[in-house]
Amino acid sequence: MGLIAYSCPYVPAEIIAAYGLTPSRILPSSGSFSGPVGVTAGVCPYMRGFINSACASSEVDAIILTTVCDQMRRAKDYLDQRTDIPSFMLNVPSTWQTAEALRLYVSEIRRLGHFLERMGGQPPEVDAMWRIMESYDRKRGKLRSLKGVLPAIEYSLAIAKFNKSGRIADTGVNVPFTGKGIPLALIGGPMTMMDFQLVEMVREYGGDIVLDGTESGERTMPARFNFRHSIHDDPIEELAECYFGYIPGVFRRPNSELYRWLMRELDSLKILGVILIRHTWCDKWHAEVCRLKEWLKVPLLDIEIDGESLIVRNSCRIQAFIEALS
Amino acid sequence: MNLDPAQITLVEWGRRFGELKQSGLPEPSYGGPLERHLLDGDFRLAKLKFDNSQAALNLWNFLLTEEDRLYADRLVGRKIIGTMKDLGTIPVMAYSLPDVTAFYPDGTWWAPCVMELSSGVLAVADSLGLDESFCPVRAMLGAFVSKAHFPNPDLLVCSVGATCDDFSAIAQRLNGIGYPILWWEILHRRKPESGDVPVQLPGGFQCTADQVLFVENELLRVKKAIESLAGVAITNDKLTDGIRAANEVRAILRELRRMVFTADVCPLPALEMLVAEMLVIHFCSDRKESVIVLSGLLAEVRRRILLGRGLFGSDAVRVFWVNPVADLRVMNLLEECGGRICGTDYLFCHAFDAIPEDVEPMKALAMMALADPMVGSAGDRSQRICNDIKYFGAEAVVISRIPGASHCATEGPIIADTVREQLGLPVVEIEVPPLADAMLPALNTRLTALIETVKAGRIQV
Repeated sequence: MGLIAYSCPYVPAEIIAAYGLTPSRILPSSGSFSGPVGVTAGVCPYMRGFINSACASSEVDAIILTTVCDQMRRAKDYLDQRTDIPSFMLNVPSTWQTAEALRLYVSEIRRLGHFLERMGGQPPEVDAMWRIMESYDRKRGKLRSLKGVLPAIEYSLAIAKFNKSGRIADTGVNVPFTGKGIPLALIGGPMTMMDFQLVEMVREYGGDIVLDGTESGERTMPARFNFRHSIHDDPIEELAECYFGYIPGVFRRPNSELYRWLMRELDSLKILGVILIRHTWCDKWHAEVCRLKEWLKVPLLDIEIDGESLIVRNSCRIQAFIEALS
Repeated sequence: MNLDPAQITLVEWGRRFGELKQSGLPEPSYGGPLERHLLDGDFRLAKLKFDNSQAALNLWNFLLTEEDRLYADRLVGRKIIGTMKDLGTIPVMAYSLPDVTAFYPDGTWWAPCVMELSSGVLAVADSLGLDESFCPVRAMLGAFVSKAHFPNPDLLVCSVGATCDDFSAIAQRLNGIGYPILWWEILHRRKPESGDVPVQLPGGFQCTADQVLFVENELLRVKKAIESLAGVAITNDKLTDGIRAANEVRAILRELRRMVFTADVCPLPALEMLVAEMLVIHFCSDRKESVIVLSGLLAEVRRRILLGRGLFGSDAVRVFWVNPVADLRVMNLLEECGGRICGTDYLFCHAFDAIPEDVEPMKALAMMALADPMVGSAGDRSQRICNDIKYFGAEAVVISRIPGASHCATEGPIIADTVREQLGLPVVEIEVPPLADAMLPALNTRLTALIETVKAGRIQV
């Protein structure tokens, strides 16, 4: 079964699976330099890491990119010019307050379906599509139930694993994890596997990540599907509502929904500090740092990561941040 | 009083202006000696070299008095629209109404250069969290906050979607500090696939009928907002007239580019051509006058070509320039190194193409917006660059990176690879900050190396 790699949370895994292909939302191990995106100043290390690691994998049959970030949008040029790997650009609108934006997303999902057909997929019957959505919804429900049960890093890794493979590991944990550290939120762009060490670092210094609002974390899980549908209802429209209509993104214009989501979560979890993780050259998160500092009622620590190392300076800053909150 | 073409300094322009006045120089309302702009804080002018023609004088004066025009428009009650990012589409719609002025706040990106960082706009952007890792267009944010460069627009519109992240992030920051923005979506242009209805766009790119329809609907939202602001409907007739008037400006500029870039000896320097090209995107806030200014330049170029006069000699290396420079001084530098500009893509070359007049006007504008090289792939943009290089006969390419710009990191290598593969021309990539003084020796070395490479190749041939 062909493996379709992607990175963006607005790509519904369900549609890929429904066509009989294997969706895999991969997190690169780091910002690897080896591959079609070489050493070029100004390139986002996450984009570089994602493209290079997807291209390095012999299992990947095609790559889906989206327009939510300019560097990812332009990554398609590297794929087209420097590799033979088929790729697809999903147009995810930045605007969201009009019916046309949602309609565009729906039409893009249908167009993605045609691409998947060209990749050897079979168009699903409507019932089969709903069944796959039910299956994903059930698994995500199980995944959500692990929040607060698993330590933060393991919950984030469980989400990453589910996104990559569609599977949820049996944790064997029944007793909820009770973190004793300072409750913190992590927000920002997508994480490489290397970046998860930051979460571990936070724990070592006495912090407890209780909210993973990065692009790889719980913030980007779609809404639960509404299964009270008739056989005539179009599952693609439900997918669009629950992905495009629900996931708050920094790229949205305006991106007020991200702030609403954050306010709700911070209040309910009684979070005392926020750590923002952003990759070098990620303009969209970088530009929010100052605004978030003005807006948040709790302190914010801005961590820039380069995809190559976690940088000793960041370790000292995280330690100082948590100490200051103690 | 026609002299041989030459580049002269600001001080020399002072003397020349006096001579022109004595000989009965007819001056437009915004005329006057160039030196007076120095008193307004445009310190960079003292380090530039200007073309010595009266047409060039009018061009510079027209450019450097735009701020005055905007404030004057505000005083007489014209509605002012700040249009961001689309570079050439929304102003065509706005200028279809008689009492509306549209301008690009983005244009403030040259303020740090022209005012040699004395404007403080970058410092304001810094204080709002947009440091030098962002494109110099962050100056726009400082200009809004300092309220010193243009009147606060009555309506702000911004295209988003297939745009650079810097601009989108900066505009969102502006929105976040309290400036309402009407966002409209520009799609990532894609080639038609099986089942799509293909549409041929001005400039040679292709997209689909669905994409055109979507953008047309987005532009309708902008149109309604402008109508609501102005209290007047933009009828199809008015818009058709507006498109025709914009096409007049575009036609003059296309002819100017053709004549300048293909002449045996360069009839107009790079800096004046850059300014002339900029006029086309929003007419420098006065559409009628922009026609007069550009027509003056075209007449001067024709005169010079007819007389066989020009600048830099016939062996100047013909260079195609990609992306605008943040420091205008670098355009002079290229010529000092032995080059001349023969073809450009300053990010808005779609604004030179004629807007279709044989389709519904809103559809025509949607097609224009989708013809923007920046909303498609770098492969598309590279192809248009290669076509233009062949048309203008350029011998080398300079890709000028804009510091921090999200698109430059990825598209530079793609454009360079395509030019080398398709045309076998030498390419050099440089990066130009808003004030490049400290980097001039390094830039000089790179540009000279490019020029020498071309000249060495000529000898071998």
